[in-house]
Amino acid sequence: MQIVRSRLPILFHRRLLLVVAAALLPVVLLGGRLVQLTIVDGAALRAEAERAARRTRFLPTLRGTILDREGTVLAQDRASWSLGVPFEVISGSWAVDQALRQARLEVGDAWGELGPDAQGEAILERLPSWDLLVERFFDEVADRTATDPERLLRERERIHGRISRMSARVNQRQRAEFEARRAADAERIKGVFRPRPIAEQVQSHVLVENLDDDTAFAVERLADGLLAEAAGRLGGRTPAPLVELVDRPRRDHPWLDQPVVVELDRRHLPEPLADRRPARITIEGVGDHLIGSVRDVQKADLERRPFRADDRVGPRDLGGYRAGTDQIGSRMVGSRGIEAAFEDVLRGTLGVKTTNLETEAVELEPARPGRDLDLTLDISLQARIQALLDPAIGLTRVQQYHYGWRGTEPVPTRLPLGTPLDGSVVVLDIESGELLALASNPSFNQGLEMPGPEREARAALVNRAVEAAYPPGSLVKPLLHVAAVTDGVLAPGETIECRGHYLPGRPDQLRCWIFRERYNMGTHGPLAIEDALMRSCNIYFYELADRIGNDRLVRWFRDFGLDEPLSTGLLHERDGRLAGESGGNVPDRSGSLPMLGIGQAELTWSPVQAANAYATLVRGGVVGDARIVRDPDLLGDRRDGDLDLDPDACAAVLEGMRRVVEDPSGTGRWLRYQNGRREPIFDIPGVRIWGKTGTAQAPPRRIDGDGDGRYDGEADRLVRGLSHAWFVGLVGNADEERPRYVVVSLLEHGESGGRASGPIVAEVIRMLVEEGYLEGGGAEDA
Amino acid sequence: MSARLGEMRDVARPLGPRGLAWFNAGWVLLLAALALTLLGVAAIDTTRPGSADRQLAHLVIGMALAFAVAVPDYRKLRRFTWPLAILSVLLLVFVLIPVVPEEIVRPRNGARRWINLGVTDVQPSELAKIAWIALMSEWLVRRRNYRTLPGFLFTFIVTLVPFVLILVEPDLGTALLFIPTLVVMLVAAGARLRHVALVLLIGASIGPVAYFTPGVLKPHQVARVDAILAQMRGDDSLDSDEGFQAARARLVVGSGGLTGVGSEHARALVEYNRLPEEHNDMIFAVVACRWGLLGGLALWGLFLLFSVGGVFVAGGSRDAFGRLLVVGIVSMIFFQMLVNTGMTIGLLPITGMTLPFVSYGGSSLVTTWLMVGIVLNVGLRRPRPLQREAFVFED
Repeated sequence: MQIVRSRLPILFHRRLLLVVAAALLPVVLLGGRLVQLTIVDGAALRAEAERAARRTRFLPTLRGTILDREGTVLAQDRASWSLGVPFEVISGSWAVDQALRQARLEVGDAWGELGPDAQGEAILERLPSWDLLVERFFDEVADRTATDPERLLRERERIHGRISRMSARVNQRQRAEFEARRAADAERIKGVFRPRPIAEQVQSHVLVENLDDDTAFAVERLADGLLAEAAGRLGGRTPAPLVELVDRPRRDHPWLDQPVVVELDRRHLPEPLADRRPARITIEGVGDHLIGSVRDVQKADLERRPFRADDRVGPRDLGGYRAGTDQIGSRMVGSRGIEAAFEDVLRGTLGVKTTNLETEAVELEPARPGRDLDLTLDISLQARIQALLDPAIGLTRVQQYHYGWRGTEPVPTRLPLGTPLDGSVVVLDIESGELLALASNPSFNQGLEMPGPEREARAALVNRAVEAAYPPGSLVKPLLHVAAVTDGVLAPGETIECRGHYLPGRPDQLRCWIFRERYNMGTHGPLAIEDALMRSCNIYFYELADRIGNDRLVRWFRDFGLDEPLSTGLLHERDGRLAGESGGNVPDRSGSLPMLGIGQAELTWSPVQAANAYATLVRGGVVGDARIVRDPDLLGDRRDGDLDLDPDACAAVLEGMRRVVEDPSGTGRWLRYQNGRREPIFDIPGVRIWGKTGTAQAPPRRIDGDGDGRYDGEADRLVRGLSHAWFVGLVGNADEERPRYVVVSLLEHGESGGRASGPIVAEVIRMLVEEGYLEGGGAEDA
Repeated sequence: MSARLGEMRDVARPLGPRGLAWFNAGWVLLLAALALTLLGVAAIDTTRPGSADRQLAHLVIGMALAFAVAVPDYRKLRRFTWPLAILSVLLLVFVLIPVVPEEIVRPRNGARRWINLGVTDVQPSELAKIAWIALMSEWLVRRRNYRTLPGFLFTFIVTLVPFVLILVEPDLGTALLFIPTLVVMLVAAGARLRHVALVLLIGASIGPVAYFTPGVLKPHQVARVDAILAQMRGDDSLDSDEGFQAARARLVVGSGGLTGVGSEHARALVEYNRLPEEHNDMIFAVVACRWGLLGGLALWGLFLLFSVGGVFVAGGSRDAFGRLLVVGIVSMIFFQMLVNTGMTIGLLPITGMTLPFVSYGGSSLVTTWLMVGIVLNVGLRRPRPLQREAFVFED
């Protein structure tokens, strides 16, 4: 201070120095801020600013094709365009805007000094030529798209009217809301209401639909030409666009969109259904449960995977979903089935065409179509199986042969004869785990056509092959034996005696199925596994379950693919139900543990899980779960490994299953008719068949007694004591030791596994022969 | 005796009032102003070549006027300070009279600031700036009571007259320039620093009070403050409406980087980012975009050079009136520069204010050059012989 005083003795000079020093402070502050903006944030801000100088247009993409195992197309995109016109062109404000641009350009800087009237006049002067251009454009559009010009005009007026009314309503409502908010909170909410254009006013609207590539691009060229011509009036700048081609590809599902007629050979059906004339069955939608369909974008899609053209908000994703049905790529979303399950595989990503408005340079990022999806499904086998399950054939209706006769007396049926039965058929390639066919009856489309109460009562839209779980009944018996031997709790070849009931002195509990009055309280006596399976003895397997014990048994079931979804690639797979390890089930001799041994109690699985467990057994324990797509990498986490099953036990089980269908006492051998007449269920030359029947307790079923499609009338009733009918057939060529395919049939409330589901499996095996999956006998009985 | 007197006259003659001090810092100030104006012309040319040509014409008129103003001794102005002040107040009142036909006072964006003279528009507030600086200089020279608190505060009350009249036009930005300018003039004139500190303290507290007291600020002003607060928080939700102009300016400024993007690219960025008022209030954004950080620093450097030139003119003059005139003019221009560039780069709320010398606009450029002429005038005058230093107080 002293130095300053001596150097600058005059106060005024000192004060000037003070002021200059003080002035430097804000300048430093400003400089710092400018450094922050230009250097620190410079690159980001510049990128954003340059984005404004680019016009981005998205290019359409295609959804992947879905093919069956033979390469037959199941779903495919077909290109198609809609002609969208921006609302401003329809409303006429486009012409006004261009006239305004032209006027401002021609008047130049003096524009600001013109009064509103003079400005309006200048615009009006230039308006007619722009209006004319728009009309010329629409005339040409009508001409090239072969649309009636009158209709086009009416459509324009309709859109204009509708959206103007809509916008007026919206703005009125928003104004009212704004006033209300301002009245409630005058402190914070200030200013006046400013109406904003509603979304429809800044969008394009479709005037003509379904244009092919040539027509669409011709219209686009036409618009470009008109605009280029008019650019002269705007000093070389291109006017705002007149047209937006909206990509509206259509998804074709050739096997779903048209009915498919299948001719079925009825000669080998059970005698009461057989006919020398083939049946012609029309199927409305082959694989309708499996393939699914497409729908418009919904809110959940936007939340799951929003479309992002850049990475400002999140990672860039040109395959995401866009709101608004007029947007490119907004329309097609997989709904149900494979279309939904492999949505992200099938979905392509949009291309981007970026035009730098400054340099007019065009950058093109091509669209990437979605991946094609090869299914393991054989669509023609699927079609035939669906036809087979059609009630018209009779296999899926209550038949007297399901119940049999006593002498000449038909055994009374629990459900009325002819009642349609629901069910499912699964065909699985054992070695590869590939699913060749999954049929569910009724089919999805049949379910859609049912009256509501019936659809609900029958759960008609459920794909029973994977989405439903049933108690397996005797189907678990082979698994149990292999488990017991592998675990060492049963010696190979060991016999267990069937005394009709399991607990000594308690003939009313845990009985064998043969220990009934109907069968004269019979017993099986001592049984080795082969015969225990053939006769499906319960006592043998109560004993096995008891020996294995609850915890290990539950683990075994899990190893065979129960209790969790298999990741086949189908949606809504049921994981089934399985008793917990040391859970609520006390492993006592009278409780549920023995019941597990015959596939009742706390245990359910889906037909696909059943097929899969048998395939695992045939492979000796090598895990390779069932799947519907060729490429396993497309599926999520899947199990692998080897259960190291005892090979002798597996062989013994197969021998037992051979006897089931071949031995005269086998449960899968005969269909029995009046007076002891009988015919074999399986009589197919050239193939070798192993089988297992299963009859599992079913919940009561509602009967529409008065046939009015409702279930609340007096004649409508609830039927109890029903059983589901399972049949697992393993099939291979006659000269081979090992089966190649598993065929599982489940018929709900079918009463008898062998008699209701057996004939269905037999027909499917014939189809496998005809489709060339098996060699067959060649010499068909003519 | 007479010989000695003659000797003294001989000595004094070259120092006498009639000779002009050709060699003075006023030229530095003038050259800085010229450089700034030419920089502005180049910046305007980026987006509006036609306007750039007209701005050159404004420059020629402005410089001619500046030299014309520099010729007559400024000290003669002292006699006209009061009439000039009254005239400017009358003009300020005139634009506010609602019955004045729109051909003469045409409101723009709801503000009544301009009088249409046919060839050009004139802003009475521009004249009021000069008249008020001259009046305050005269006031502080004549009355020494500003070293007492009542006298000190009374200068603010006088200033309230143009302040309020301009505020209701409304033109908050211009009105606010008067207060810091007065503070600087008072500091230079030797007012007690504790009084200055008191005023600064009051000023610092008025801002928040005005913001939080309903009815003091207009809704759009509150909105602009909200926008800048939001932007400082990193919240860009207001960018599409209230903070639109600020957000656009931020983009364009930031795009410049270190050395700028050049004329062509800058034009495209300004156009496609729809920066409003880019040749006028927002010209600094164009400068920063076209020439980058270096361009911005150069601009501020020129303003500092301009101010330092003014400080040397004031320091070199011994005339109290001249000194305050120069200090007032330079600080008024400097503060206007601070507010304009500060709002462009997002440090201050957006307010309609031009960047002196650089922004496009005839009346604004010519008035600023008129101020340059006045400073040059002071610089050219030699002190009268034996004139006492002005404002010699004990601190």
